[in-house]
Amino acid sequence: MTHLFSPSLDSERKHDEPREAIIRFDKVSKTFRSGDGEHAALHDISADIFPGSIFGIIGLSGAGKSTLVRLINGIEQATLGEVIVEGQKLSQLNARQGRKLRTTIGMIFQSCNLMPSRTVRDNILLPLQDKDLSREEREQRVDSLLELVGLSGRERAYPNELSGGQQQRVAIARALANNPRILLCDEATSALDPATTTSILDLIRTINRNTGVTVVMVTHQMSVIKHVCDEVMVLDHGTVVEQGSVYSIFVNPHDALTRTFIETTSNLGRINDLIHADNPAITIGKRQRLIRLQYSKEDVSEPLVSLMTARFGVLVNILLSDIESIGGRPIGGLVATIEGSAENIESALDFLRKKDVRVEVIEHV
Amino acid sequence: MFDIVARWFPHVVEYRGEFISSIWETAVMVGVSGAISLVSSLILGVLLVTTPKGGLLAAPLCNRVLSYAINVLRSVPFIILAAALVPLTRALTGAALGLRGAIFPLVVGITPFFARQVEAALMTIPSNLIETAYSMGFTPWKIIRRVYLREGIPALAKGTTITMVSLIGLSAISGSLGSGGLGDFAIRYGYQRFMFDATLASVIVLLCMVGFVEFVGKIVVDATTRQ
Repeated sequence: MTHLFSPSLDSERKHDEPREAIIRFDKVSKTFRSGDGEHAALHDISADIFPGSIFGIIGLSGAGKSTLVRLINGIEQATLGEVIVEGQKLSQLNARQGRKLRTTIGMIFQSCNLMPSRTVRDNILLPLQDKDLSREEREQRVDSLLELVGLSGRERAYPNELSGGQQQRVAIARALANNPRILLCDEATSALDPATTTSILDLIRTINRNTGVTVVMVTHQMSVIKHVCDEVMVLDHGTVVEQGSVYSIFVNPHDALTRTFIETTSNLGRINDLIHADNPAITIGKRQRLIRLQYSKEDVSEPLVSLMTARFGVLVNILLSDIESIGGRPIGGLVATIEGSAENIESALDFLRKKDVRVEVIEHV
Repeated sequence: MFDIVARWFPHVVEYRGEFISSIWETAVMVGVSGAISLVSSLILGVLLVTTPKGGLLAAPLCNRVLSYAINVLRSVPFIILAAALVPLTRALTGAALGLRGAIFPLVVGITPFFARQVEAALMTIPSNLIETAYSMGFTPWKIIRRVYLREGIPALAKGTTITMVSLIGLSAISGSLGSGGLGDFAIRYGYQRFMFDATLASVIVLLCMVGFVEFVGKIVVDATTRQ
């Protein structure tokens, strides 16, 4: 049981080697000036994105996440601070160097942005038009990219003949045509249904693992972060409220916004709905408390709840429970009522805290 | 067949040599001035779309001047514009009359309208596509060629059709200034010499020309539209 959740060799290696960031935001701010004044889109952002990782940027709409990702390929320029991509300070690049950099960065968008008058093949060839390639090389490139995204044989189709998911696959193939070292995804799955979203995310992760391309993924869905990202940055009104490995953020979220995001992906988040709906399953008696426990130890087999009831004379009634794996590591949790004298409940909860369980008393009655 | 034509269009039959060369002249006027205007309108239309603030070739002042100049030219009725251009036309082409004299005023008369048609056509291209091309590291010129002009073909074909129909109309107006062509034929024979059948025949041929332009335009639009 335990070995299932042991950290992969890959992530161990990442921790051992000193790494240099492929993308670095150094105290970046961005202000938009318009007729009626200034609008601060990003404020004092610093972050390192490491080669080969999948870096998620999550926030509500208007948080500045799309602007942030557009700083990486120079669609937008920082007002203050410096964006450094592969060692190059973007503010010091001239127009031609900027274009050269952009050819090494692929980008996909929520709306796919395929050229409607071009076939799948011609869309994929678009970034290769300025490359010195023979006819055969181009054909081979298109064929291998189509195979990679699972659309072999569709090269003659026009975008309007494809489903949303297929269009996004073509967009991915097009973004990868130049063998980019960085792939930017701006809400790439936001317009897709859940099943298609999963398949597109799996594809992006497979490509990341196979080619080592660094992926920066902007989203408003925590499920996307949970599904594919290694690192995450939570943006709120242009500032970073939390940043770290996806696992650590899920285990120990500090910010209220982060917790809100996490609850959208967790079965335990449903307790709020139940409370709101005055569900009879959670009527809480005089000697009862409603608690939420979260444990992140790899050994989830220790029967903590049974130990607690036996040792402290409390009764525990589990309402919801959940266990999931993030980046191959487990996070478990449950929502329960605990019944007993106030002192007993307090000692029981202390016992759990000593076992590294995060304890939250949801509602006193 | 010939009898019926001779009965209904006696003067057209009488002056058939001139009538046929009028058709040819109109076709040449429209073809040559349309082709010249297409090139200049594509350039002006692209500039109108790309030079506003935040555009691909942002030059807001240039944009305002250009837009204003186009509005001024468009507000002058064509017959007055063509008359006012006579000295310039003569200086440029050596003639103010006939085919040679007709083409320059037609180009000046239709280009502002055509440029606005091109502008409207290019505005239909979503800014997402421009951003995507930019993110591929394309130069502005390549974005114009590969996205604006290429993806805009269906809308450009619609605008060109509308413009060509207007241009056929203008070419007939310039007939009253001695340009030759069907307008000239209809005015000199049909109007001034009361040969109504000459006017009627000119109208029928012009209708056929407009129908042909619309037909070709529709084929191009249908073949290129992928939405």
